[in-house]
Amino acid sequence: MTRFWLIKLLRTILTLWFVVTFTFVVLRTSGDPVVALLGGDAMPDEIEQFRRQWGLDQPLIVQYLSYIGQMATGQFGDSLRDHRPVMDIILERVPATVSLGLVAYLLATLVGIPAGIIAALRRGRFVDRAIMAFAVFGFALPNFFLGILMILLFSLMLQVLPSSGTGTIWHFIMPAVTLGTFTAGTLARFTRSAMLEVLERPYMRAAAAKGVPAVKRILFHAFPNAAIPIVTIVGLNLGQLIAGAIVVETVFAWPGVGRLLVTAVSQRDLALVQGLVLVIAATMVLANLAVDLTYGLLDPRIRKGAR
Amino acid sequence: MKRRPSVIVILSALVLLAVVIVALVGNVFTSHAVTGQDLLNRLKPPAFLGGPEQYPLGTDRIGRDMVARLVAGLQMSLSVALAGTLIGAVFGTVIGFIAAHFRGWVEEVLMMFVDFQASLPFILIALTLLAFFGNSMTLFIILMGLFGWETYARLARGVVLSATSQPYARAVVALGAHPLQLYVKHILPNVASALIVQITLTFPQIILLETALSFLGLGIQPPNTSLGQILGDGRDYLSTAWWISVWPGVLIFVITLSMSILGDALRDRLDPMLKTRTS
Amino acid sequence: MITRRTFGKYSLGAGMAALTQPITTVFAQSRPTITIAVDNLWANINTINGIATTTRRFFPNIYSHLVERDYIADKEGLILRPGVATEWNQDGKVWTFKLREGVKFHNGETMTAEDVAFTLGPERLWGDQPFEPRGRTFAAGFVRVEAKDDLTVEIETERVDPYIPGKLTGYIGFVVPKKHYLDVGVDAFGQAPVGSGPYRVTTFRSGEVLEMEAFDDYWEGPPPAQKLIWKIVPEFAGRMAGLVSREFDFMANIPTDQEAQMGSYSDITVARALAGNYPAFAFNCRADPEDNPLVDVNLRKGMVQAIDMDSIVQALFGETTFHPAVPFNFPEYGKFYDPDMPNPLPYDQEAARALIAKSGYDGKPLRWHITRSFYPNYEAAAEIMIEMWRQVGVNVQAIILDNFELVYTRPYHLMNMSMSTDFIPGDPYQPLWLDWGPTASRSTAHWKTWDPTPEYLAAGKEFEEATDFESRKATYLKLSKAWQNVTPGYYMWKSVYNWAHRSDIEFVPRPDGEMRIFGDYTKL
Repeated sequence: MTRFWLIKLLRTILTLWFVVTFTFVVLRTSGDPVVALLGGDAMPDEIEQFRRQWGLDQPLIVQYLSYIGQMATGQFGDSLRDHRPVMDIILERVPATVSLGLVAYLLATLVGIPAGIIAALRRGRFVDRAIMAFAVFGFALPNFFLGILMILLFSLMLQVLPSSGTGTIWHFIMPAVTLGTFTAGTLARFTRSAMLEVLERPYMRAAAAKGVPAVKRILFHAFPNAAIPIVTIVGLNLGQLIAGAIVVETVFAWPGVGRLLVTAVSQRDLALVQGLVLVIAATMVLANLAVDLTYGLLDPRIRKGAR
Repeated sequence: MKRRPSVIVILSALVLLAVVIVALVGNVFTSHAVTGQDLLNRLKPPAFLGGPEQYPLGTDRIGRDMVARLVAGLQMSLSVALAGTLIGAVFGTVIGFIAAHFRGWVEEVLMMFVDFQASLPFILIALTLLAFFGNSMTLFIILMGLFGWETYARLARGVVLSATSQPYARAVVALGAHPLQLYVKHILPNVASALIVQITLTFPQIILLETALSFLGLGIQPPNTSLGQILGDGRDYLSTAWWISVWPGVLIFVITLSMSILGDALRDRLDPMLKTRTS
Repeated sequence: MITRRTFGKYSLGAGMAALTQPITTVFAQSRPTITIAVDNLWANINTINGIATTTRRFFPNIYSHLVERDYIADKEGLILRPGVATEWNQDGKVWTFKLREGVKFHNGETMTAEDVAFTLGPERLWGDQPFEPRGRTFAAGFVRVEAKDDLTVEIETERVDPYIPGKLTGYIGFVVPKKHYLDVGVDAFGQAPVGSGPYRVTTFRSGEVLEMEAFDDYWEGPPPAQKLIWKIVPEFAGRMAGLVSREFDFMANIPTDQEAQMGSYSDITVARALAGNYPAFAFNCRADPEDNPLVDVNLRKGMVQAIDMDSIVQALFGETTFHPAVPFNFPEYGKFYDPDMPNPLPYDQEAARALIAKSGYDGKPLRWHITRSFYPNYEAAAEIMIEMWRQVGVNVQAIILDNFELVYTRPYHLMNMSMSTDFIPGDPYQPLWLDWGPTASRSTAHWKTWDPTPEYLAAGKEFEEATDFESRKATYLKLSKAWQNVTPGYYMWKSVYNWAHRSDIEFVPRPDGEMRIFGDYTKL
């Protein structure tokens, strides 16, 4: 059991190290960031000075070692553009993304899971078909297109929702719906198949035979068991949400990590991109670790170390 | 127990068929070249809404025929998605087989790559590489091919591991068959249905990924065009010349929708897990 | 009953009243907050390190210029007006500037000649390791900047330079406080700048928002708005929807084709200014790559003659801008401008074909490196031009790239470029000599596209030394001719800046893109 977790932990660390190294090598070998940063009219000596100042004139291996060394002390370098510590810049954007992500996820759960349960219970009927069609609908529409259509409808024509940015609860509605639609679809489909599997189990038939009311059967017997596989896709959902945030935050001028990434990439801010990739990878890897842990707690077979 | 496919599934299949046919022979629908411009007829609405007759679906901002643009975009989007899906499936499956065959450190290293890719949303990797290295068709196709390979690798590895523990596999090897023969002749057919289902999932995702990258300006670049690019370029015109973005939007929607419905139906039929479950 | 709309009118009335009377701080309490949706900000607000179209918009609200271009009195802005410098005069190579008394910086300190000398001095702009190295370009020729007393500054240049006051209307003319700048350092200063303009920066998050507050000790008196919020809204749909629904008071940057729709809203006004800037492309005239067919001037001239730029501009911009038929013959150069100058290389497909045939061009594809979304409509124009070149048998491929580093990576045959014209108001020095001359990046950098010819260099030297108008004009024509003999580039059209704002705001746009939410330029 302990060995199982130790190996997991080791692999997590290895993965993160790999992410850091890979990003570092790719970013530094892709060309000189200085011209992109200083703009088209930068003079040669200006470029030279900038490069010296940021240690970009050093051999790659020296830059790499000093970066790893810095990281060991909790330093992630300064942004090449606005010269502030990378972590400060990222952390001030995290709350916006996390709050939007939570609202979107809550929305997706509230819609997706009940929809999946209902579809499973009405398997093969019209309701099932309709719900599943809607679930596919959720991820067949490119999210930026959905977002812009919503802006035009609700902000420009009806003028009932703010068009962009943060501030009030109303500001959450359009970005969260845009971001959550995709996840809601995935959740609905997944819940449906997990529920179907559980509903077939003997103990469900036994409960029905014993005369346990249907609502109680579903809520207290079926769903908790179906929840186990549903939990496992939280990691997947997280990836979807981050990927979605990159686009949705740009559409709605949402000051979060996704938009930061888009600007950092287009401005070739090596240090910032590097920090962002690391933070996102760490979040996802840790989330998956947490999912494994929860899974172990939920599923007695794994708890007993039978894996 | 075989069920007859539902109307929706048949409809999806027909729609996909139609889309493929349009992509293959679409140029017969228009006499205009993809790059042909008519500067006096910019942003003209579709013919049925009072636009010039020679442009049935309207023109874009430099007076190019939307039909010609859409056909070219469709061809590009489908080819990219097809190439990406196939590369990913082949590459991932081979990696999975290799990992399962050699075990030990080879497996560990390969699985680390799998973990690595799973630890980052793919769009982030694609976005960064395209922006830093500069967009080219080759890089773009390679990236699309890298999309989702880790799922195939995991899938293939899992199937091989469980299959090699089966008596028949041991028997085949004991009879002196080359391992390659074992994989190609005996294991691949077993994993095929799962792979096909996965392919139907990856294909629409690649189309959507290409669309999202186009929105960020990093999709297919002119003079080539794709549905995502037409949609992304047309978005500023939604309130004045909606036809530029709505046509490709509808096409993308229809393709991903049909593909997903078809994939679901296929899974219900092919997936052995589901089969045992429902029987 | 006070609805949202009528409330707007009431507060507007109050604002107008406030402007017509001597303004007191009592009125300041009722001043409105103005929200401006912009496409982008910049990483820092340093006057030189932060040079960008997106920063020039708000700079004058934070910093005051030494000398001002007066676009109210003259459309081309060729009249100079005192800023924080009140008078100036020249004695040979030395210019003396008298400064305004009692100008306050946002931190409460009073501006002195020390601050101005530092602003223009070697430590910040043109020394060995200056804080803002790009200043060197703008301060070329400076040899001494010195505070003579509290309110007098002297600038000495290498050779007689009649254009110093004009140069101070640009980026280098924004005054920064020496002590504070040195205390916090250039980087921190760029994040929380201190100037002597009408608004004081309170919040700056470079990828998101810039907020500023009225600075009532401003030397021209309190500004009309209590607060300015410059907010990044990257999508046009978002900016438009927000303006229409009155979340925003202003928006910047409208795709040309959408201007008409914006203007169709009865309570929205579209404002437009022709910028002192021309999108262009450069021909790579050098044998790098070795088989570059563009080394032959006939091919370059043939390609120029194949472009029907007037039609392109008409199609993409309507009547809002124009194509300069002869390079450097730009209307913003007042007396230098000749509207009837004949065009030696007019659109003519036959002539183009003949020239191209003469060059022996063999149909080899030419790579045109283009920075993505760098200028409005550039990519669209490129696609049209490629079609026009195809018609005369020249095969050009547009390669759209994400940033300058990639654009500057060889091999390429054509390259997109930016060409500003406003460094010296009313004089073609910048586009003709500074941008192409022997010190320019396009003739010195690793990605250089041409080597100035002896003819051009000789003409340039004469031009640099000419100080009176007649000889200046004669040498300008000679230099322009020398450039055209090589034709190392092509000027496409004059850039257009555009904005939309609430119709009840009076706003005067400026060709430098500045959005001055004060003075004669904005009445709330």
